[in-house]
This record gives sequence, structure tokens and C-alpha cells, in this order.
Amino acid sequence: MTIFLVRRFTFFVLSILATSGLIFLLVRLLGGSPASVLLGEFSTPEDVLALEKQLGLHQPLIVQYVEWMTVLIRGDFGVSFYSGIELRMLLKSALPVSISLSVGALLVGLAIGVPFGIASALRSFQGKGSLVDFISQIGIALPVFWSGAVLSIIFGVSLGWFPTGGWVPWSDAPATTLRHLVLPSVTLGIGIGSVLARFVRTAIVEVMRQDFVRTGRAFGMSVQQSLLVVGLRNAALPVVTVLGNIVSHLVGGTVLTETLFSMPGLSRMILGAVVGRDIFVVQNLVMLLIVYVLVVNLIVDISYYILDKRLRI
Amino acid sequence: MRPILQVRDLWVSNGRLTAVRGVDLDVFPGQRLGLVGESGAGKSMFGLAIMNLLPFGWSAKGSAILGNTDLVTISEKEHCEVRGRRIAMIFQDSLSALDPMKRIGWHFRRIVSRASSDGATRWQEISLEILSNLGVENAATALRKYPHQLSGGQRQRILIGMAVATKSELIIADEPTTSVDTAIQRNVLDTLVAATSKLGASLILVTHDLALVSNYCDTIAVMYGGHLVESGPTTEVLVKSRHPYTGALINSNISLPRIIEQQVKKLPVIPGMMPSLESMPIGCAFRLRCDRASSACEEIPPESISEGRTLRCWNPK
Amino acid sequence: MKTRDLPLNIWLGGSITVFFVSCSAIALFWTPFDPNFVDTTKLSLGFGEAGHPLGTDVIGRDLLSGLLAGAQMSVFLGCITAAISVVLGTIFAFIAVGISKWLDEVVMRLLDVLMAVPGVVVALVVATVSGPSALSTISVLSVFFAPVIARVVRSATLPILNEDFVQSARMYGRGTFFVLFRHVLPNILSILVVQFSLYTANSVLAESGLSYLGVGISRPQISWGTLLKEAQETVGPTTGLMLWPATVILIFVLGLNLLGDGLRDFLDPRSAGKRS
Repeated sequence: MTIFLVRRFTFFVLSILATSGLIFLLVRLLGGSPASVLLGEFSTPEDVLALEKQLGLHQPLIVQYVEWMTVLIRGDFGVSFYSGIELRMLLKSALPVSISLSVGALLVGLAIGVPFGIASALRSFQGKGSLVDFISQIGIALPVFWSGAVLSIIFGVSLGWFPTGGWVPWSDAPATTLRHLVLPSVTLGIGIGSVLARFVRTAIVEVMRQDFVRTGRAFGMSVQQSLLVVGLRNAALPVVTVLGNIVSHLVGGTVLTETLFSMPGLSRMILGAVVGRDIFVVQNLVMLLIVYVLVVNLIVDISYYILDKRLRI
Repeated sequence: MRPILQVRDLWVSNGRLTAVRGVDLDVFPGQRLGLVGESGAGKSMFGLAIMNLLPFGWSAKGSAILGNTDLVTISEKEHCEVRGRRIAMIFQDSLSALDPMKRIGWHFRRIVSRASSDGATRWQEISLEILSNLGVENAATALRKYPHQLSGGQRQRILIGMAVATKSELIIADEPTTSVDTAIQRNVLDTLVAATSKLGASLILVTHDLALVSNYCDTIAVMYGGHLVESGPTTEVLVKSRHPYTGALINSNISLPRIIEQQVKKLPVIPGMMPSLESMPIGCAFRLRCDRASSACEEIPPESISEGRTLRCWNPK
Repeated sequence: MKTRDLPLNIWLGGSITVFFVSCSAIALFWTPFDPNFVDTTKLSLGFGEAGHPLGTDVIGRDLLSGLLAGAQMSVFLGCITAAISVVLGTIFAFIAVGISKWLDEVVMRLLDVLMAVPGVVVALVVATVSGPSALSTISVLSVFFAPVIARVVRSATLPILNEDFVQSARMYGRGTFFVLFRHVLPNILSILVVQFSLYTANSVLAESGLSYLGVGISRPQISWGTLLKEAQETVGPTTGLMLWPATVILIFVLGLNLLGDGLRDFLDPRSAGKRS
């Protein structure tokens, strides 16, 4: 067990080093000096030089890298070049929005994907076809901006049930916050649910074909019983692996969804920085996201290891 | 004596292929029947058909009456009542047959609780007794283990134990020793037979090994190409077989000591191979390999019953 | 083989794809109006008004022309990105498989890391530094699609390498790369075609997303994503201005997916059973 943990954690650390290195190099080397990026098109070479000195961009790359990493680990994400506001402050209000959306979408995805996946598997085992298969294939391909727009038009504008944009902090009026969350979560959740439904179905069907399911039935379990008692537990394993993948995609999806529904989350911060060429802000925020994804993958792998008793002799 | 299981004209097919063709069989209380045949002869499908555990797409026709229940016609729900109560099955591959995520004890708890009224509370006591009778060492530890943590022989005994714990009238053992070391095969079978007779149940031993049948079964039924070609009391059939296939099978089952003693140079072998399900010849399935075949054999021979023995052959010996 | 014999997937997916490709081909030469032409006398027109079949946007630019021009860009970008990804992915896979076990292990781990990182964010970094453009979009997307394709190619290549005819080629002294290109490549061609189709869909989707966020294509170049962005920023996501490009993207992507899946089942019937 410990060997596995050590190996996996080493891989985690190496991944962080590799990705941070990649981002670091991209920022420093692509498209000229970061200073010129920050100052924009109309800067003079003297301005650029001065800024570079100020930012310590003439130090050896390794030194810059280590400096950056040490600062980052302490949770200091730097300062916006233009507004001078500490990112930590901005994050305080932006993170809850993005996290709420991610959680909401995940919940919706689970609520749709798991039951439909199970039902579809059951029908498959009994030899009947399933509409879920076809529908989920469409659900996966639905672009977020399309489903978001359609849902907004139907439920937001025509029926007026939910707001199509904006945000209210949880601390102010939780009920309204929830209403703001509905449309975006459902939009994002549809894609997740479709992927999950297919995956759950395949996993369960695979399990149901195993000999030990037949043994269960040979000793009196009905098909439904064996699915619930035997099937789910064994099918949970492959499903756990896909969750890590889903979370990865979730990051991209939340960026689009937040933009569509004008939510003041992390993506607005990043996009603002991108447009304003605030390169170091982009760098740090992107690093934050990458670490988040890598951590989730780490947790997923460890959970899988714990769940699969066969790996733990 | 009334048979506990009466199978009449059982056919098992998936629409395209047929694995069992018109088999008639009787199983009596306390009988130990050896169902013999090469792989693909249909003997496993026979057992699965009776329990309605056929693979997806396969179905059975005919009748198989257990007591007063026709196992071919009842619903899946009714089968759930029969399985693990009146019939139990011991599968061939003990590792794949057990859920890798569940401890052994979990299986026994379910089965024992189901089998007796006080089973729910006394299941551990009962399971331990069964397992130690079967020769499982450290039965208490075994109950807490996962299937992959036990040896093949132990797992097989556990499967036997599970079948015995159901207190069924009929136990079907599908090649119970094929995936077990030869050295302990006899051991496991001794255990199986002893446990079955203690329970007072009948046993159908499905196997390809004639030697096992000759040692442990009082009745033998030979299958070939989905047909039941010959059956009867074991000693009688083996000593004086009537069907050419049975004869050839017996000849090819030569023991090592005899090879050495008689300095056998060429092992007797039945020429050819049993036809696959897709290329089954019309009429008698053994026709193309039989040295007694005649033009009559192009039609399936009818079953003839005499003195407790059945036979399907136009040209018996 | 008559068209009626082809499965529905290919039939439907193929027609959609052909339709869009023709549209983009037409757009190369002609669109009803100049998509960038700002006509302040015709703001926010609706369906079919004043000779604009789909209306105009808030500064009077024709929507249909915009869609056609966008088709040209998206199809073009999508195909190029997919092509580069497939080529890159195949190269990665061959390098990994062909040189040594150790290298295989390392490359695969690297690709694992690459796959865990959401490509969107890296695209954002690149866009900040070198400015949003078609080139940066293509590069970033290819780099992120290649690993997944490499995986697929690798698992398809390994069994072929173990086959007899390959072993005999090796015994004749043929180098590994010769074997890979001469023997393996023709056999995996069908897989590559399927991946190309599926990844064109992914590329179109990704590029639309990036342009929608503002880090992809921008005027005077037009892509569907740019149209989406303009809709979002002007009248919001609840109007036809957004719905049209979005629907067009949806249909094209669906068509490509159908085609890819259909081809996959058609060219390699063995995988038909695996489709969940």
C-alpha cells in the first residue's frame, strides 16, 4: 500500500513541476518579454527594460522559477498589474461562484447520469434496447453555449422561472443564489450526466456478465438484486476513474458557462486578465486551476486503490 | 421410487445453434449421476438450462420436472425460489465464480439465513461446521477472507460448502475439479460425495473424466453432440457398453499404469473431432467418426430403454 | 455498394459533413453580403427582413454571410487541427512504441500529465502572451489532442507489432521504423480516419469555445465562435443572434460524430460490439 502511495505522490509532485515548468516557459519565452506584453503595443524599449529590471526578469530562469514557486506555495497569487489589487482578495469573491457552479453541475450530472445509466443497464441485461444510449450520445455533443442559450430562452425568458445571469452571494440571500445557480448547473450538468450515464451503463453491463453474478443468481438472487448488491459495488470502480476525467473537463466547461450566464467567477477574472494582457495574473490563476485538477486526479486514484480490494493483498 | 427430477425432450438453443437435443433423463433420490462428455457436448448447458441460468440469448424447450414444478415453464421469479433452496450448483472456476469484493462469510450468511429459520442468528456456527467437515483449515479465518486470498482447493471446498448449506435435494457439480490441482482432485471429490450423501441429496456430476465417474457415480449418462447417447448403471455401461462412442471413450481412457504395463506404443484415440455447434451433421452426431455407421444413421436414432439402460443407436454392439 | 446499404450513421453524418464543407467552399468565393460590412441603416433586423435571410446583428452585419464565412474558417481550422493532431499523435505513439520500453513508459506518463491538464487554460496563457490568433489556437489544440490520439494509436499498434508477419519482417533485419511505417500504418489507416473525423468535431467545438471567450479568432476574421461572442456581448445569450451560430455548430459537430462513429463500426466491425 505504501509503495503505491509513494509512487503516486511522486508522480503528483513531478506533474506539478512539469506543468508549472511548462507554464513558466510559455510565459517567459513565448512572444517576447513578459514586460512588453504587460506594457502593450505602445511601449518604448526603455519602458520595457525598466519594467524588466523591476520584475527581476534578468535573473537566471531557475532563480525566477524558484522564486515564483515559493511565493505561490505560500498562497500569494500576486497582484494585478493594472488595478494593483491583490489577487487573493479578488479570489475571495470569485472562488465561491466557480465552486458553487462546479458542485451544482456535478450534482446535476450525478442525478441524471447514475439513475439513467443503471436503468439502461438493467434493460440491456433483460435484452431490451434503450433510448438512453441514443440520447446520451447527443447529450455529450451538446455545446454548452447551445444548451445554455436554449435553456435560458425557455426557462429564463419565456417562462421566467430562473434568472439568466448575474449572481447574488450566498451570504446575502441563499435562496436567490440557488435560483441563479439552476440554469448554469443544469446546462453544464447535462454534458456530465450524459458521459456518466454511458459510463455507468457500460460498467454495470460488464460486471453483470461476470461469472460471480451468475453465482449470486444460482443461490437465489433476482436480477435486480444482483445488480444492486453485486453490480453497483463492482461497477463503481471504473466509474471512479472517469470522474477524474470529468473534473478535468469541468474546468473548461465552467469557463464557458460562467461567461454565458455572466457569473462573476474565476473565469471572469482570468478572461479579464487575458484581454488586459495581465500576464502574471493569468499565469498564477492558470497554475491554480492546474493544481486543482491534479489534486482531484490524485484523490481519484487513491480512492480507486482503496476501493479495489484486489490491489491490496 | 419416483425420480426427483424428470427431464423429457429437453432442447437448448439460441435460435441459431443447438447445444442440447432432445435429452431424456431421470434422477432419483440419493443417486449419483455422472454426466459425461467432451467439451461442447452440451453437458454444462444441460445443467444451466435446468436452473434457468443460460447465457443471454439461449433458451430451453421441453420439460424438466422437479417434484411437481416444471423448471422449463416457470417464471424467472419462481426460479429464484427454486435456486439455492431445492437445487444448488457448484461452478467450475472458483475464482471467477465468487464476487471479488465480498468476503466468503457474506455468501454463507445469505445462504444459511435463507436455508433455515434460525439461520440468520446461527449462521456463523453453521458455516463453520460445514466448512470444517469439508476439510477447510482455519474455517473461521477463511470466512473473513476474500476469494483471491485463498487457494484453489480451498475455494472449491467453499463452493461445495455453499451448495451443501442450501440443503437442496439436488446438487449439480459442473466440472468441480477441472481447475484444481490433480493431486487434490480425489480429495475434493471425496469431500463432495460425502457431503452430498450426508445431506441426502442427489448429485449430478458433470465431467469429461470417465475415471472420476467410474469411482464416484452409481449411474452414468454419456452425451455427444447434444444427444444423450447412452445411460445406465455405471459398472454395467463401462463393462459392457453398447454405444460405439461409449466404447471408444472407454478405450481412450487408458491409465498410466496400464500404458506402462502393456507397453502401449500408440495411444488409442477416436479419429476426428466432435463437430462444432455450427457444423453438426444431420442425424446421429457421432455418425462421421463411427466405425459402425450405416445409412440409417442419417436419421436421429430413437431412444430405446431396456433394463434400466437407455441407448440411442441404430447399430449398437 | 449502394448508398442505401450504408448504415444510417454514415448516411446522415456524411450528408451533414458534405453540406457544411460545400458551404465553406462556396463561402470562399461568394457570400450574400460582405460579412464585415457595417450597415447602420439596417440594425438588428429579424428573420428575412430587407433581403437578409437570417437578419442582421446590432451593427447591421448580415448574419447569414457571417455564418457562411464562419463555416469556412471553422471547417478549415477544424480539419487542420485534426490533421496535425493525428499526425503528431501517431508520431508520439510510434516513438514510444518503437524505441524502447523505458521510453514508452516515460512518454506515456508525460502524456498522462498532459491529458490531466485542461487545454483551455493553457490556451489562455498562450493567447495572453502572443495574442489570440488562428495559429495559436491551432497549436494549442493540437498539442492537447495529440496525447489522446497517441493513446489510441498505441493500443492499436501494439497487437499488430506482435503479429507474425511483423515478426518475420523483423527477422529479415528490417528496422523498427520501417516496420512501423510500411506494415503498421496501412493497417491503422481506418482508425486514423475515424480519429480525424471525431477530432475535427472536437476542434470545431474547442475553437468555437475559445473564440467565444475571446481568445481565438477575432474580426476581421470570422468564425462561429466570434459570432457567439458578439451575440453574448451585445444582446445577450437569449436571442437568435446566439442561437443560430450555436445551432450550426451543434449540427456540424453531431454530423461529424455520427460520421466518425459510423465509419468506426463500418471499417472495423469488431469494434461495433464494444460501442456502449
